[in-house]
Amino acid sequence: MLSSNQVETLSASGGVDLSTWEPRIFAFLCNWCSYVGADLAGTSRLVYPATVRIIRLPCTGRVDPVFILRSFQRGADGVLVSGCHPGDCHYSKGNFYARRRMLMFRKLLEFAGIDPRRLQMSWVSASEGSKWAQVVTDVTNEVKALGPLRA
Amino acid sequence: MEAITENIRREARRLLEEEAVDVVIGYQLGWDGVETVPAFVDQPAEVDKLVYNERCTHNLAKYLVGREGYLTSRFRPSDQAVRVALVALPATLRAVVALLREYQFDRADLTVLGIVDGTPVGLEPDVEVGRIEVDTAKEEQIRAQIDELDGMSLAERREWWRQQFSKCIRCYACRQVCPFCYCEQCIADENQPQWIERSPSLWNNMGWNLIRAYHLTGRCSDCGECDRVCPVGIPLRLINSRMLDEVEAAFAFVPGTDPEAEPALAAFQPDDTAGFIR
Amino acid sequence: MEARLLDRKQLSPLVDALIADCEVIAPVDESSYHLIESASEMQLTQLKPAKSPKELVFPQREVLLRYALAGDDVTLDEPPPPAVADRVLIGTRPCDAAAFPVIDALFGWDDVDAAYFERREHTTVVSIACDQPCDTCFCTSVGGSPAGIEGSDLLLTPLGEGDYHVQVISERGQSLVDRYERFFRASDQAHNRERALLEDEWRAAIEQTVDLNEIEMADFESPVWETLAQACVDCGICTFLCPTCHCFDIQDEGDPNHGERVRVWDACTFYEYTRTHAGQPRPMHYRRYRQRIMHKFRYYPENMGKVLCVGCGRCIQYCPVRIDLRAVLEAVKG
Repeated sequence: MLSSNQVETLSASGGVDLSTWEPRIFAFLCNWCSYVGADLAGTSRLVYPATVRIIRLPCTGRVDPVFILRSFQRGADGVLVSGCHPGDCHYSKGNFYARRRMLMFRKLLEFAGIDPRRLQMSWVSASEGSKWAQVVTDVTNEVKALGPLRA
Repeated sequence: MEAITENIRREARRLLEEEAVDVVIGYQLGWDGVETVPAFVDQPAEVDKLVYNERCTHNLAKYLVGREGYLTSRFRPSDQAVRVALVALPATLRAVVALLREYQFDRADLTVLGIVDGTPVGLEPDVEVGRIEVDTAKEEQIRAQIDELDGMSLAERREWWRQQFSKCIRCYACRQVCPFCYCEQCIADENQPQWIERSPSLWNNMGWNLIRAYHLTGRCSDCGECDRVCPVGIPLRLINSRMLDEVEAAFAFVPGTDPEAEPALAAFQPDDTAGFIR
Repeated sequence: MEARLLDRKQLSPLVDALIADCEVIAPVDESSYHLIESASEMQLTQLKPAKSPKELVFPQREVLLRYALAGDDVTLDEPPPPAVADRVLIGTRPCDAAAFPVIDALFGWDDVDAAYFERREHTTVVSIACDQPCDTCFCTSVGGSPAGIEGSDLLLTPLGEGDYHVQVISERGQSLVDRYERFFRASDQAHNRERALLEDEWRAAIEQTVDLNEIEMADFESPVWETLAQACVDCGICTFLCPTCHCFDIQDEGDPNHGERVRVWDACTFYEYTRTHAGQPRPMHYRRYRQRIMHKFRYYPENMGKVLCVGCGRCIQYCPVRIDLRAVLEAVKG
């Protein structure tokens, strides 16, 4: 077979045992709200699924959808973007742009055949440690129900 | 068609003789006398090579912008501005409006020789050199193909696009003919860090095609050139048309139709809704 | 090696017989050559696929080595030349076949590319002559012919009454004919003559030619170069579809713990090509276009003794702005 167009990238995951599989969620958190909120969940010793891998950014407005595509390519089954509540952005407007971007990017993913529920978004403030734990729990359950992305 | 060709030649001759512009960008016949190619005329004596016919589909706004754009070139001292007259199809007119909104050049730098079709466009051509019909058959065909994709399940659609993107050879013709792909360093060519690898694997190709579709969202002028030039026949127009519909549905915005409207993804309303956000 | 005849109705049965014994690659649609499972998948229309068969010997993505890190330990794994199964490439046009000897010179020069020649040696090329050129074909201008034998192991020329004339050009071609003898008949002087006459006719059918003999390339500094490339959009279509273009890039793809070093096709038309830390020697695109023409029609002939072009015309047919190489070559004659 002429294989040049069919080469899989490195992190293929064929043959997953679904009974033990846990989703990998890459989370892009804004430095000023959600990252602090996630930290508060930790210092409060809240228990929530260990599925999330956090990447800290200055603001959700920094998220270019290429990060999301890269995450999927590198093994993420779901991506979560979390930032300050609308009106509370540390940079005034970044999360407003992010909101429009993520809305449109989910439409694009859906048209391309990737379940848009693999891209989630939340507003979590610095004091919302328990909300963070709940968000991660809910996102994990939803993505788990969708199964591994590579399958 | 002949009338449009005559109008273009007349205007080009006048503008060059009066030294109102330095170059007229339009179309000419190729070497075989049948296909058309972009033309760059800077002498009144050469205006008779300009033509217009139904094979003229290139979006000439592409030549205005970018590293070597006639209005934005990095290789020309800023005090040697080039004044351009542009033969502009309806999609090119929309592209010019959107590019102006992205502050790529000033309206005063450009003389627009417009070919209109009655659809909304956000600028008045300096001269209207022709009227053409909207290709309703083509539009219906695109609509039908999108509807067919919508009718598929998510998994079927995913498989369908995987087959299409696995054909991609990363020639970047889609990018290079597009007026909106004017970044001096495309994200696909960035390697510090590398977001999209160069090699044509399925995921790399999906990354490339989806990120280009996303970066065009809210900007694309719907000229269809990306689709026409793809050497392996990937129906790129379907994605860009779909995203134009999504932007219009969500934000009541159609790129290039209103010079005052803010580009949808470069703007926001404090009360935008997005029901999926927790 | 004596010529044979193959009844046209025997072509599909022959191909099915080949498929039973080895891999068979043929044009399947407008875009590409492909491995086929049955002769019915072959599409032998007049038009060549957009992609040339060069990727059979020069894949667009090829792994050079793999690396893995574990703590301070680094393992490098250099894959040996691939074990290539025998395969028959059928349905190439003489231009595409002629490209193979042209790039053999490059891949065998200086540092021999073992994987390339492994693939080459396991490929039997069965070409079919062109009885009708495309309006972008110009093989005769670069020393080729619609019924040329360069690069082919067998050449099938369609004759008037329902036969292919089969020229046996190489040992590989002879062994295929010997192995599948039951499909072939002997040829004779009359058929051989008919083939030669047809070739002359088809050569004459290519009307738009360029006289490349004694081509004196325009001076490097000539202003003509700036106008030739005005419409060029700097994509990679001409390079990637060209059967003789062979420039490549080497990229590392992976993460800090494991990855692959790969060779991928590159194009001299891209801005990123030869962009180094010291700068970009060809920042304006007319310089890149000049480089392309010079490489193909002056530097490569000077170094390798062959023009780096077989006149297939894909660069003209698929160019987004229909830059015509024939017009360019006319314009740059000194």
